[in-house]
Order: sequence, then C-alpha cells, then structure tokens
Amino acid sequence: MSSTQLLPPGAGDKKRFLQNCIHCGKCVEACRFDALKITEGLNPMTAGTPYIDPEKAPCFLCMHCGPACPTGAISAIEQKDADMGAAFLDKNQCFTYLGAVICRTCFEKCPMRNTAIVLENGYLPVITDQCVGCGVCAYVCPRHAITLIPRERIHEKVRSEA
Amino acid sequence: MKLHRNHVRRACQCLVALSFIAIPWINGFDIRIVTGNLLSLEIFGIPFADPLAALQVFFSTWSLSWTVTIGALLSLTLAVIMGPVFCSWICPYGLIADLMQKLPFVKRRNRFSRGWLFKAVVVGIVVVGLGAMAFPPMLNQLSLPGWYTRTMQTLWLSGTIPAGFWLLPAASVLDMAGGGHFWCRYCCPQSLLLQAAGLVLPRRFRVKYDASKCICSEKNPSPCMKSCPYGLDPRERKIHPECTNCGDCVVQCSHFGSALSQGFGSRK
Ligand code: SF4
Ligand code: SF4
Ligand code: SF4
Ligand code: SF4
Repeated sequence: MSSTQLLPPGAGDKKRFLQNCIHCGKCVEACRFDALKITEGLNPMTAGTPYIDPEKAPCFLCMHCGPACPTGAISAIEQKDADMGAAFLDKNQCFTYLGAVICRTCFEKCPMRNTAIVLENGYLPVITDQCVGCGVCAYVCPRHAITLIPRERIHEKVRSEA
Repeated sequence: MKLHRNHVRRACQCLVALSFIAIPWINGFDIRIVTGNLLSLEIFGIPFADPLAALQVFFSTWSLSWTVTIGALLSLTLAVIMGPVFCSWICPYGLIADLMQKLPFVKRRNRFSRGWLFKAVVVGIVVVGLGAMAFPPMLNQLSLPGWYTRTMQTLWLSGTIPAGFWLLPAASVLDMAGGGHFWCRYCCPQSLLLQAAGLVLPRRFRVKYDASKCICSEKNPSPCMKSCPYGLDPRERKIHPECTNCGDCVVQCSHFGSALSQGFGSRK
C-alpha cells in the first residue's frame, strides 16, 4: 500500500469515518473516475472501507461518493470542503520555475483551477491554501515536482507544532 | 411433480444469489436500479440496511443517518410481520447451507435448542462492548450475506477476490462437521435481530400446528422435525424464534396428516 493513501472527499476524521462506514461499497460503485478502491485484507477495522491511492488514480472531485453513502461516513459536500490533504510544489523541480519550458499541466488539470492553483504573473503555478488535496496535480506533473500530504499527516504536523 | 412452496422459495433464493452477481456488473454501466450489498442496499431509491450494522454504528457514534435508520427499520418490519424470512428466502449463504444439507453425509442435528439464546447473549455483549470502545462496525466482517455480495462487488470493481470470501467455504466446512446450518444457528450474528423482531407481535405470519390432525404422534423425531433445516420441532407448543418460515416442514407434513400450515397466528 502506498504511503499516500487518502480517504474519500468528505470523509473527514479517520476514526469517525471508520465508525460510520458499513462496507456497502456504494461510494466505490458511484465513483466516476475509479479513484475509490475497497480496502482488502483481513483487518476488521478497515476491510471493506473505501480509500484512494492517488499515485494510481487520483480523485477528480466529481463529488458522487458523498450522496451515494447511506451512513454519512462520507458527507455530501462541495469540492471546496473535500479536505483530503494538501499538495506542495517544489520550485526547484518545477519546469516553469526552472525556466526550462512554460508548463501549466498542474494548473490545467486541477479540478479547482484558479482557486487551488493560481498562476502568478500569468505563468508561475502556485498552490494556495484552498487546495483540498485531491492529488490530480501530483499525478499529472511530468517532473514529479508536487508532493501530496494526506489530511491525517497534515493534522499530525499541526498538532506536533502547536 | 407438484409445485410446492419450497420450490418457490428455492427459486427466490437462486434469483437473489444470481442477481447479486449481476448487480455490480450492471452498475458498472451506470444503470443504478439496485446499488450496494446486503449490508446496505438501495432498490429503486428505497433503502434497506442490515439492522445489526445500523445498531453497531449507533452504539459507537450515538447517531445514525436517516437513510440507514429507515433502511434498518424496513428490514426489521419484514421480520416483525413474517419472522426471519431473510434467512430462508433471501440470504445467499442460507441457500448454500440448504444445498449443503442435501449432501448425504451432512447431518441435521438439534443439539443445542437454546443455542440461539446463548448466541444472542454473546453477540449482545460484543455489540455493546465494541460500541462502548467506539470501534467500527466490526461484526460486519462476520456477515456471510455481506461477504457473498461484497465478493461480487470487489470482483467487478477491482478484479480481485477479497480475503473475507474464504469465510463462505470455511462456514460450509463447519456446517459439514457440526451438522447442517451450524453457522446460521450458532455463529451468524445477522439473524439475531431478525429473530428478535419476530417476537414483537403477538400475531404474525408463522407455522401453525393442529394437533388434532397430526398422525405422527408416535414418530420421534417426527417427519416434519426431520425436514426442518434447523432441526427444530414444528410441533412445539411455542414455535421457536429460529423458525424462518421456510415452509419445508409444512410441505413434508402434507404427505402425512397436514397438521402444519402457514398463516397469521399467535405464538401459542
Ligand atoms: S458508501 Fe459510505 S458506508 Fe458505504 S462503503 Fe462507502 S463510505 Fe462506507
Ligand atoms: S492543487 Fe492539486 S491537490 Fe490541490 S486541488 Fe488542485 S489538483 Fe488537487
Ligand atoms: S443465519 Fe445468517 S447466514 Fe444463515 S441464513 Fe440467516 S442471515 Fe444467512
Ligand atoms: S419449523 Fe418448519 S418453517 Fe420453521 S424453519 Fe423449521 S422447517 Fe422451516
């Protein structure tokens, strides 16, 4: 399993999510982009709950899973509240910052383009604090300049720094 | 061959078992008439839910969504009126267990007639305990109707067979060793709330016994008892909460005195 596993958009806190999910798989059936996968294995805490492996198939924020979920484990929310994590762009890797070519792949593909990624001076991609961490930009970046941090780890970081 | 109600039941079980192979496949084409699995299901927008799953979520979070509440109540309502018919008419493992019992070396036994009470106490403690410790609905992982349908979903969605699938053959082996329907009677936690719901109404759909017609008084075990998949005695004064209204005993009895029938009646 990849280290950057994400919970579905609107899952919120992992513990609350696991308590509510009854393993019906409706969210996975509803996902238009095959981003949601069913957790396999025998761990009784998690087997049957959905997850996203953004390196294989990121979430395109179609927001179909929330309304499909009968329990509210995934809340029906808007894109801007997806709160799955956050993406970080390494300027030392990005083609555009390096001055090699003007690449706007991440900006073009971000489902929240102009909100989560903006173009500074019209060409430099900047990830804002509106980013919800869907993972599309990291998935499409040809330079692998973008790292995705899942929600849990961001919250851990915030807690340990506080 | 006369068409008996047990043929209708078998057809119904097979239809459900086959449907759940097709449902996740059909959903793949975005035709969403039925979604989910036997833990939570939606048919034409009407929700159904495993009441035990709902209860577990409730005990660990002290809240429950409307969809699941209505879904669980609908499932329970069926059991309140008809008894645990889910087990004999719908559950895919119920079908497997029934078919297994046709094997010549699988015995029908009525060993612990209080087994369901014991199971109810154990499951009750587990549900409350897991809830108190705020655990996820872990008993779902023991749901064989759940795993049957989850396997089909996983197979169509990601092309793999989930580990829990192997509970189905494991339970079958248990049934072979311990006597038919061993899993259903002594292990399956799903059936409990349905059986309890079946006790709510004084009058509901059930097997009725007319002693004046019975011609097998000397035979022990009686033909009806021998035909019961759960090893129950349909002639007991109080029909057992485990009785699923499968009707096998009634069909069997029709070859003898026709003392058994099914209809609305009280648990006398
Ligand atoms: S739809 Fe909700 S309850 Fe069902 S598997 Fe997905 S998260 Fe869990
Ligand atoms: S910046 Fe990247 S991770 Fe954030 S919303 Fe846009 S595509 Fe998704
Ligand atoms: S007891 Fe459980 S496994 Fe057996 S038929 Fe009923 S629900 Fe299915
Ligand atoms: S008592 Fe009769 S109807 Fe009830 S489970 Fe046994 S055979 Fe079926």
